[in-house]
Order: sequence, then structure tokens, then C-alpha cells
Amino acid sequence: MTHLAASQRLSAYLDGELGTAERRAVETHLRTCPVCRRDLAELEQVKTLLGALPEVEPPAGLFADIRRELERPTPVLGPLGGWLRGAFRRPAVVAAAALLAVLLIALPLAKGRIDRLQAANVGADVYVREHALLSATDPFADRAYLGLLIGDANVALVGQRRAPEDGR
Amino acid sequence: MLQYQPHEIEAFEALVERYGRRIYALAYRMAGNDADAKDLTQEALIRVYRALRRIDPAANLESWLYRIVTNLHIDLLRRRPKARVESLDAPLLTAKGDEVTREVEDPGPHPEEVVVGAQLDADIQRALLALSFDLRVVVVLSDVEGRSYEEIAEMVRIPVGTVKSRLHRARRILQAHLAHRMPRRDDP
Repeated sequence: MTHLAASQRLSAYLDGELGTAERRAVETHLRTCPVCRRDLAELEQVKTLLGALPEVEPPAGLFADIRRELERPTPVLGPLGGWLRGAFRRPAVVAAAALLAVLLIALPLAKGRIDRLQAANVGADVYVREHALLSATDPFADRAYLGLLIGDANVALVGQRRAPEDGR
Repeated sequence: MLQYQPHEIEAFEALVERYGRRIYALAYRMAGNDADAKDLTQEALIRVYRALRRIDPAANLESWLYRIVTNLHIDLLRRRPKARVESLDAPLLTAKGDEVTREVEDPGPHPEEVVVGAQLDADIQRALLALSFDLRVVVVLSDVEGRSYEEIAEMVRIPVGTVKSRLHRARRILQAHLAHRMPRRDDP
């Protein structure tokens, strides 16, 4: 085993994490290499130092705090949840707000329905009559008529490609 | 809101009892300060609690817990790239609002003497924090927590070969940082 290969395996050798063949190769190298012997000793010191570190004690009350945290209802609704909880404490305010909301939605709906009923009374023929009059006096103002006129002409809007016509 | 059966609450309590201290210890070695370690432990246990019904009893629970802690720590580092620095001589505030000063152990008159005490602990912790996250997690799991390469590979989700090389690099860097703390060697 080369010096480089052996030196890169010193940690694994120290931890007993090498296979038999690799372990023997490292051992053979160590017998002849003072540099690797020194490195191995240093690595072992680091391992020993870290291993001797005392286990850190969790601060008193940490787990009790965590249990308390877990017992607290989770605010699934976020800020809305807080608002809802507040609502239960003040029913009168909620009732007033609900009434206002109903009125705000219901009034335009009711008004729209009345308008539609009135329009139905006037009758559909008013629209037809107006349309016929307009078409007769000024046919180019009638969009439907205009569409019919230019539908088969090769008219293109600005910026759009004109459809090929002349076989080019 | 989660509604657990009494036996499920009991299972969670047993889990906290069994792994809570280890989780805190790992979090402390990774984060290097009590405040972050507490946050990490709390967040990890809350995640465990929420996932209680989904835990596979056949799975390696401990390695899963460790993975939660390390992942949370990665999140923490991402959110706050600068490490929290606690001044040793700044006064601390107690819960009542009084100021107290830290008692920091004196290094002592004989630096050659290996004293496994607060100062050495602080030196090692500082050296650990100087490592990149990738190297730190491997060396902490191996040398502080005593995990095998195989276990670390599973916890960190990296190949065993990567554990091997990262651990080696981490130890070499730590050795350079802690050389002044090493006992005098007498071997040839």
C-alpha cells in the first residue's frame, strides 16, 4: 500500500472499519512509516478528546415546556382562528356583522331582479325595432352587418400577416 | 388539532424519556449554544408528535430522530447564516430581569495538564463549530455519539465511503485546532 493510500485510511483503521486485507496493508505500512504512526496517534487523541466530552444535560424544564407546547391547540386557521375565537366571545358583534353582510349581498341581488322584470315588461320588440332602424339609416354602424360585409374580403389588422392569396 | 389515544400519548412520553436527552445533546454539539439546541429539540419532538401515527415501528427510530435534528439544523443555518455568538463576559438576564455574570473556568496555570473541564469543552466546541456542517455532523455522530460508519451513512444519507473521508478530514482539522490541547506524545 502506498503512503498516500495508507494515510487516507488511518481514521477508518483507528475505528476498526477496514476490511481484513486493507487493515493488514495499513499495519504493514505503519511498521515502516513514522509519519503515519504520528498521524495515527494524533487522530486517536482527537477521537479520545471528543469521546471524553461530557453529555450535555438538557436545561431543567425543557421537556415540560415542550409538552405544554404540544397541549396548546394548534392554530390551524392562523390569524383567522384567533378572530373566530374572538367572535365566540362577542355574539352580538358577530350577529350585527352577519346582518350587514346579508344586506350588502341581498340588496344588489334584489335590485337586479327588479330591473330584469321591468325590462321584460318593455318587451323584446323594442330592441329589434331599434336595431332595424339603425341598420337602415346607417348600415356601417351596425357591427353585425359590417362583419358580414368584410368577412370574405382579405382585410388584415395592422401587424398581422395577410393570408397568402396569389400563390406565392 | 391532534387527538391521540392515551396509549399513543404514553408512547410519545416514552420516546421523549428515551431519546429526549440524546436529541438535546446532539443538537447542542451541532449548534454550539443552548438556545438553538432547545429550539431544535423542541421542533424535532413536535415533528415526532405530529407524525406519531405514521411512525413505522420497524424503522430505525433513533436514526430517524437524528436525521430530523440534522435537517432542522440545516434549515436553521439556512435561515440564519451567521452563527449565534454568545459573549462570555456579557451579563446574562435572569427570568426576573436581574443581571448575573457567567462563571467561566480559569484555564489554570498548567496548560500541559489535560483538564477535562468547562474550558476544554468550550475549546472543543469552538473547534467543532469551525468545521463545515457536513464535516461536523459526521464527526459528532462518530466521536461524540459513538455511531458506526454504517449508522452515520443511514442518518446523514451519504455513502459509507463519504462518511469515511469526511470523518478523516474532520479529525485532521480538529487536530490542527486542538493541537495545544493534546497531551505530550512519547511515542517514537
